[in-house]
Amino acid sequence: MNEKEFLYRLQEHQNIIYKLVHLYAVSEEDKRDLYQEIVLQAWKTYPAFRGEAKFSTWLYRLCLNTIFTFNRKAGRIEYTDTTRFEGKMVVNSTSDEADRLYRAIRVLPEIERAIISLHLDGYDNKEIGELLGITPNLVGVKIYRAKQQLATLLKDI
Amino acid sequence: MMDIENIWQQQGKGEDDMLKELLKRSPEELTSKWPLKKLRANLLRGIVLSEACAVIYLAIIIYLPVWQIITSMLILILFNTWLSITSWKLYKKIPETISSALSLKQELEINYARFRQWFAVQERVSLFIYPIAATGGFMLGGVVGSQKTVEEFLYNPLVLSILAVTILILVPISYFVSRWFFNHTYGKYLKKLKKWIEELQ
Repeated sequence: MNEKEFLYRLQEHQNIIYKLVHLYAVSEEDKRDLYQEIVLQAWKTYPAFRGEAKFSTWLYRLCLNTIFTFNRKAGRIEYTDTTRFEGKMVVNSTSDEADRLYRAIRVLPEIERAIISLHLDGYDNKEIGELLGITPNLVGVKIYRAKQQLATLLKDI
Repeated sequence: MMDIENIWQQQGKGEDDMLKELLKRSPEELTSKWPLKKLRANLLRGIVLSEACAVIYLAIIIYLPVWQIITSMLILILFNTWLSITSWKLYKKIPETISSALSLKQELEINYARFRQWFAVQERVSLFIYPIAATGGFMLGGVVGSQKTVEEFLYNPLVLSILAVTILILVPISYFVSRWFFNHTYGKYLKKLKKWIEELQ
């Protein structure tokens, strides 16, 4: 398998890794560990990727399975001004709104964070259900609740 | 209200230095901290240790061919063989990597089940192997130290009482220590897995 081709595909979809890791990592060390674990797991699992699903869907599943089974350090996420961008991220003009959105989503319970992230990225309830192993109805219920919570949080943040 | 779908989809389109650096390196250079990988390594280490102990027990039989010692060492060898086989079966069941085909719930269930199975093995070890090994060591040390035969050494009621107390104390202690150690190391992790599995029911 071509390592360059693999890394190129990962670079093309690095926004998925970035977004998910930033929703769950508590510290810089956590972030580094998760990035490293996801890239390594993706590399080892990539030969089994047959292209039946889109690469982005495959990567989403792999990221979520890695993040949730990884023994992350316990700790509260501190919402300081430097938590998200740390001056390293090239941000666009909506950075304030994006920051507020991140902060709000990170307040949600961990499973809901995954569901809302998938939903905002355009996955339908059936696809989300398949990725998580739950029924589309339950996905619908959780999205409804999470959106209500988000609306309240976005008013407050 | 902001257009959250649009904002979310625009995220991560820039470059994060840490991720960018990582994607320049060969994935082969990266190291894994994945819990199931650590568990596989623990099991393999346990198998090697168990087999090394069996070799030592065999050597004791050769150098001290007294029937009581031979019997206790053979029991230990049997336990160690059972432990190695059980550990090997579990080792073979543990996947080397995350599955990109399973759902999150299935992946969580696999992780949870494998850790519980490993704990069941550790519990049996703490109940049978550690106390028996300690008792064997007590007898062996006593015989070698006192320069007496096993019968002569055990004939003393005080020695027998000490042996009985040692076993009575060691069995619960090793059981509770192993439980404490497991909970201390993996308790929080397993609680989280269980909570997420329940949330996904």
